[in-house]
Amino acid sequence: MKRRPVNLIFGAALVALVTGAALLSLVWTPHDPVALNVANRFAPASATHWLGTDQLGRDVASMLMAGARTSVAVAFVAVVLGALAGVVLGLTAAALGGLVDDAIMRLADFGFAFPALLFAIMLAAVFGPSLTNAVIAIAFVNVPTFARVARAAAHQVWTRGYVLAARAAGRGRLAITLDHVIPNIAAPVIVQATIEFAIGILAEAALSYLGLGVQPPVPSWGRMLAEAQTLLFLAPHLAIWPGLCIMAAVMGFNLLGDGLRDAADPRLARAR
Amino acid sequence: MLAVAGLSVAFPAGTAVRGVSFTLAAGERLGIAGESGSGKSLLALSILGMAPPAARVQGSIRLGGAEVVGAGEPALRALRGRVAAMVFQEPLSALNPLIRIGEAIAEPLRLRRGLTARAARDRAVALLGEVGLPDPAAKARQYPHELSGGQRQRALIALALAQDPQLLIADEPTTALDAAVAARILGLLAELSARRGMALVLISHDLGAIARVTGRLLVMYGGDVVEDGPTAAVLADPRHPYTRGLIAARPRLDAARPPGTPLPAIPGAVPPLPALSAGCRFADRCALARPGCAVPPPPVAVAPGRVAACWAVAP
Repeated sequence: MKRRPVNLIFGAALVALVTGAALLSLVWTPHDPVALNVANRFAPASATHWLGTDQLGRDVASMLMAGARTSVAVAFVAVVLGALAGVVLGLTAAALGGLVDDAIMRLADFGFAFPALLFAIMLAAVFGPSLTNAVIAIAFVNVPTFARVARAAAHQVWTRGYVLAARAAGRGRLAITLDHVIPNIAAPVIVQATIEFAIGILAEAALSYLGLGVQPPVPSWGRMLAEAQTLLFLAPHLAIWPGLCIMAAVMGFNLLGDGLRDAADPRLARAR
Repeated sequence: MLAVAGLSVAFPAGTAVRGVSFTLAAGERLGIAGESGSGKSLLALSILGMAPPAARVQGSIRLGGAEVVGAGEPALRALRGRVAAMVFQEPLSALNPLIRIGEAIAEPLRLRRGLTARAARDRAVALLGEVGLPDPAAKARQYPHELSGGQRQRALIALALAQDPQLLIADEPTTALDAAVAARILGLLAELSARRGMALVLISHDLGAIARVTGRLLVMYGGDVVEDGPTAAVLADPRHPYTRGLIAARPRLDAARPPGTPLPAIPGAVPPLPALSAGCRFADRCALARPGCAVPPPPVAVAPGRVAACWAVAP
């Protein structure tokens, strides 16, 4: 019997929910997510305010939707930038080998050894906390991961018969990389990108929670958590909802990544 | 068009090709025989300047008027595909599974020959027709996994022919194929060589294949050329004990061999690189071995146009 890819379906559904909410928030939210209404603060859930209001009377549901937009945008840009730089480095290392390979991989080790949060704090300290700096920090910590994944996959491709045949036909390293290596490493890189997306969302939430990411009044799940912290006993829902959102988004992308990996490599799925 | 002189390929672990010399005229067909580990494939790769990075290549390989040994990558790339091309053993792994057959052939033509996309595609279809694939236009649009083993090997040959090389090196081109298909591929190689005036180097452990296609035969053992001469003459009257052993070990249906008796075999196996002796490398498996075999035997003319490297056959 063929096993249903439960991970893939559940993950894809969660991801669709989060990105759908983020996209929808571009054109419509139940209320203006940044409109203050102090008279109506700490309102309970109701037909007008689905998830109630916060300490400044902002609509929580609208803030969560706008927060999804921030999270997805930051994670997306960071993953794309990190993947581009990392894959280029990994392909270079695999194609040239020798000293270049060693140099790039030691650089990647250095990147791994450097704590992401520390790097973000450093960026914030030097350039001031901002969305851009959060993106740069998250992208930077993605680079070594992608470099390693791309290099490992590319190394395998370089040992294949068709690469030998291409070399025997007089094709250069660049042509072989473009024609043969890139299409054949796409699967692991896409899987890694999905998983890094989850890490990116978590990192954005963490940075915003610390005040190093998105600045007010732009809504962010991490900052909603930070603001709810002091009001935990007074209005627990203010912390619970963004927390659930972060969990759903991270779990969704992780499950999607797992599911894609199983789909890309059937042997792995059977071994489980 | 190909002149190999005193070629040695050494690894840190030992010398895998030792003092190999031969020449190949335009259009000539040469077979290289020997069991696994005899250095045949490494010799072939060295001709294209593709020996592994760890290998130290010494001697001289002149290919189409250019020296291969010590040449830089750009010079080598200019030779590869255009002067000499190669067909590999595994027809499935030698084709990128993600690229259609036609594109695989057309792409290098566009990039290296400057053909337009349309001209390159037409040329790819023509090449697929030339190697005897039925309905080449349809095959050009298929992926490697949609072709049978024999068809894939034909496609690979078309890929190698794309840049009209003067020399085609076929490294065990029929090992992965069944006997009937193998025979047809060998026939195709001989036919292409004759029609295009293209020199052919056929590397095989199958003496029958070499007998069918080539006019001259090099027998290699442990990195040495042990015998060199016209294929028919060498097979009919082998001089080197290793060649004799190889011929005796061929499974034959017509041989008067009582059922149940094992096939004759050369005792032992090619030793690993570090264990290869400095003298005659076949000595430890040879029935004719004598103390003098500790010194490497020089190639000796044993008949007109025939050379063998063995102390026991010296005239």
